[in-house]
Amino acid sequence: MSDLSTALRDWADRTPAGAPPVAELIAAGHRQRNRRRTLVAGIATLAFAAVAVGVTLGGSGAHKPSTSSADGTAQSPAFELAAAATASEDTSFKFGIKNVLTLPAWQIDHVTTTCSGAVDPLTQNGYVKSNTPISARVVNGHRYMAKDNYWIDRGKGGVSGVLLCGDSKMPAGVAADPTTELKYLQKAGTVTKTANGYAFTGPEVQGTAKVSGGKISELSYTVTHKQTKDYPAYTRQVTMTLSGYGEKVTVSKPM
Amino acid sequence: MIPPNEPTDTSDAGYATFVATGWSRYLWTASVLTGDRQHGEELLQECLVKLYTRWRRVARNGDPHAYLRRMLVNGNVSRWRRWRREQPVAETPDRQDSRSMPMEPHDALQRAVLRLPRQQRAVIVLRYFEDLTERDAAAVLGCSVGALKSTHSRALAKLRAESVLLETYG
Repeated sequence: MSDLSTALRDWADRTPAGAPPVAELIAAGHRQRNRRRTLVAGIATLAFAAVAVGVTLGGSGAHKPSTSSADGTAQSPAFELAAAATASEDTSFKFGIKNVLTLPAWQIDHVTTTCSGAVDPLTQNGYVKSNTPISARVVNGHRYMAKDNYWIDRGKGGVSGVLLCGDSKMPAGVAADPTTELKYLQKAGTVTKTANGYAFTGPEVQGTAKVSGGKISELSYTVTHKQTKDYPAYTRQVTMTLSGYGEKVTVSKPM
Repeated sequence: MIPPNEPTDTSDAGYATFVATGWSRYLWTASVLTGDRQHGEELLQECLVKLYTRWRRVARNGDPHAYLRRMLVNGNVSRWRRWRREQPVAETPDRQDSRSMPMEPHDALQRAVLRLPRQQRAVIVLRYFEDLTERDAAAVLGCSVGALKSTHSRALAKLRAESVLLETYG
């Protein structure tokens, strides 16, 4: 049956394969390999963030008071920004995201992902559409994920952590979930007030935020990640516009 | 063909080379195993991601090609079982393409291969495309050599049953 071998190889040769997605596979592998590590680290990060926010809100004196609250107490820019971020994530809003990733080790050079969507944490409705094959809808807390040409019912789970911008298989932190991104503001290392809003700087992140009506209207920042044993060095530039606060978010079931 | 026991680099670069050189070959294998080009690509990607998480160990201690072949066969069975539990729909409101992308057989033999039951198709691919011995193919499929011979025999009988095949390949 050597003819059978030949025929199968001819068939394989005639079937176009396209370029192997090496960078995406390595990114997905990184994410999967580090999932358990990330979970453990995430708990530590949450604890750290809680402490950081506590210290910031506690008025350590690191930030110069710039405004006064209603009762006359001085507030720092960090306090104002954290308050705006908290107010923003507790109500419905629309979002638009542009995410530019550069990861030289995996030949990712300024790959841009754009997304738009809306989320309502109170009714647990939301959706995200993007220029990638991946999109998601959440209807009353029920998750539906679309990949390529079909939808999959993922069951109950809520809006948190599912409305991702870009491939969720990319390294942790590359995918931009609006509610997650807002938390950047709450643990920003140094916050200063500018003419247009706020500027913040952390160990790996620096950016600006605009506030309108007590809520975030635009968030722009750059993450510069240095090489670690888990991830190669990468740079991520994110611009988020947030609008439509308090408006009703209606999402239909895809199936 | 890729040498089965080539020295393997345990770094990311070694993995990238492995994927780049084996991609078209294993994509075809996965596509025939699943009977669908798109399902085959998804299966291969799932397996390659898992392989990456174990790459250092597999590359250092074993044959990554054999490991990947086994993952493809087992993954195909898992996908089939998982697929029955999920609720896919034929069409999505905002997409136009159909869900699957069937393999395109060019002759009677290829059509006959795709019509074989899953296990028999796997045996044919492993024996005649991957050039595995009966023992190695049995190891990939997780069955005895005797069971593999039996499946192999039934698969060939089905292929030979096609009239065109009797003329062309008999």
